Amino acid sequence: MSTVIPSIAPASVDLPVAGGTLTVAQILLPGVPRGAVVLLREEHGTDGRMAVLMNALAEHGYESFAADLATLSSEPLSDEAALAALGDLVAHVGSHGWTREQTGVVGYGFGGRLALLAASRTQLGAAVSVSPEGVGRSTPGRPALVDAVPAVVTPWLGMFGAVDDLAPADDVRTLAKRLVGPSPQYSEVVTYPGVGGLFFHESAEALAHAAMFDSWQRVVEWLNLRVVPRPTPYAEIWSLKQALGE
Amino acid sequence: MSQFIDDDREMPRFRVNRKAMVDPDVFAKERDEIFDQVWLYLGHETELKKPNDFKTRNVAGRPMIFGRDAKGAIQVWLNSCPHRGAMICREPAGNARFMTCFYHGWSFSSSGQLVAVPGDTSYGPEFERPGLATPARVDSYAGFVFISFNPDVEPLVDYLAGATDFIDLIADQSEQGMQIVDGTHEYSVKANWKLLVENSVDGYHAVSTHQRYFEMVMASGVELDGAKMGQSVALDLGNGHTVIAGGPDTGGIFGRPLSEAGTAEKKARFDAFRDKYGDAWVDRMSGSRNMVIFPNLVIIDLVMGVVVRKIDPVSPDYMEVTAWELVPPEEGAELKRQRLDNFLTFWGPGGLASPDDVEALETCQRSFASHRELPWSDVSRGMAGEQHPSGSEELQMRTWWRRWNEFMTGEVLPPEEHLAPAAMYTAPRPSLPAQQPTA
Ligand code: FES
Ligand SMILES: [Fe+2]
Repeated sequence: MSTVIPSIAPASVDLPVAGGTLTVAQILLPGVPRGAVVLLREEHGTDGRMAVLMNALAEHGYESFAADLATLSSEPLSDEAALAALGDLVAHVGSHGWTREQTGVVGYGFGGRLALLAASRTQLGAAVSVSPEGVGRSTPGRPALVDAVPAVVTPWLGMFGAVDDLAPADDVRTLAKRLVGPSPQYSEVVTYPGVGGLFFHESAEALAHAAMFDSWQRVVEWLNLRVVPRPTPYAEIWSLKQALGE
Repeated sequence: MSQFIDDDREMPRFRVNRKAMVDPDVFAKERDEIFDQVWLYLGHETELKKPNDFKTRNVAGRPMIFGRDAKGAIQVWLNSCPHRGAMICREPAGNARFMTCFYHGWSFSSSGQLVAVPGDTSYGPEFERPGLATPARVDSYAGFVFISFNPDVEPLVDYLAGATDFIDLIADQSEQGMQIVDGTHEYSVKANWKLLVENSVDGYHAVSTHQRYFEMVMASGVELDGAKMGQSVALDLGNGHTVIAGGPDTGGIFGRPLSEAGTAEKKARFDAFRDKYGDAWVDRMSGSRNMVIFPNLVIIDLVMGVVVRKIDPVSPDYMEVTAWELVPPEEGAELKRQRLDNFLTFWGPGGLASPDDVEALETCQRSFASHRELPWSDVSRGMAGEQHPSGSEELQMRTWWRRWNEFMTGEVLPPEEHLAPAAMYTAPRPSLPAQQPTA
């Protein structure tokens, strides 16, 4: 993710959403950007890492909108409350001209959980969950994902650390079995050997560094293969002509 | 008389000139006169499970993309960028709604539209954006997808002629629709592709070439039923397609024995088919069949595994082979395990049968270096007499070669005259709706 391109400082926007006001960091791009990505941070993560990811997405032509939905409440936020707010955030992305198919969702930890829940309920361009929280364990308002997610309607990629106490291998296997075969949309589960649930952070340890690097590559590939690109003005003219049967 | 085929009905004798296996001109002509004219097998619909799933593979030398679009419809594309030719997709399989050419970055959707061109203002607003190119024709029968590069080719079902009956006999083995098992067997043979066509419908070679396999089966406690093994006919299915059909209950004869539970489940499955289709059709279903659909698709239902084999000529003395297994998805775990085991043991590239075939074919090819001194191979077995030829004779190869000869030389050789085969080999399918595959 290192880059020689000068980095863009995300703008901060206060967005009124169900349950309060959400602070959204966003990077908008000039020209015709390829697509939009909603980045959902792990609970109480840091802004700095998000800004790096947003810049990395910008290099691939994606506008991005990052938030930590957990900040909406001092109590642990329930899935339903968080999804209501996420709906408002996606609508905000829509106000910048992005259709749902042109929008991907990438989440970490609690955000990864929400990305999967969203993928099970709404058709978006693509969804990625990195170390989603609560795979096999439920907490109040957040049922275990193996029970809460019957199938995905958005192509979904899940990435896990093989030695993550919070996502035991058996639970991950159960979730994969539930989603990969039967879902109407394609999905994939990747498990990184020898690393815990925080593998997406930079690390000097070889396996963790490899997992961090590989998982980011997969995020970008997953988006590029599925998020519908915004047409350029000439492409619009062409598809209009096609539609008119010229 | 064609320079390739000596079809002497007087003696009678049928010979094939070995030049057909070594000559680069013959090879080039086969591409033009056969592969560019007929229907060719691409793949099975059940290989593609989800929207935007894809496989890439070659057909008649052309790299192809076989996929489903975002709505789930089957789509077939030439795997070459309309910009300046790079291969759009360099993966054997995957899932992608958009594929981006790695050369200059043009992107195409899974329904073939060009959706993004980097820096497209350089082209002007009137520029006609080329989508992905398709083969001239695409059609399917019972989930088997065929393509043709000839826009004027006859309709697929007409082309398949009598082969549809034998595809139905396989398709009817599942209520849910037969499915291709994930994964492929891929191997190559240093021999002319036509040798594997012959070998795929060759009953004569089984006992000698596959002695090792049979010894293993007998060592596992099976008593090979000689009478049953001998019960078969070769049939001319029209258009060069041909089959060896075994009598009732010959489908599993070469396999290792099923467990008691497996036997019971299989019997229950076939009893249910008897209620649905009647005895005559199910007797046929329970038999073995080795079929070639002209020119290069082989479907074999033997040792309880259905192998679908695509033979790709690469050069006169080299072919690539891709094989899949077709199974009824509703089968229980034990029966499925035994089916896969039998399949792998007999048909696998490292199994106990296929390597012996490969060795036989490669020695043929090496010895064809002497084709000037010894020009003719003999394929006359079962030509004499009124008797309808059995599967261990060679009517099936002659059927295929006559069609090959017709494409290559224009010479039409009439079918052989024999008594009709026993009625049990041709009992018609009761008129029920055809079994469709489900992905
Ligand atoms: S050859 Fe594909 S984009 Fe140029
Ligand atoms: Fe053989």
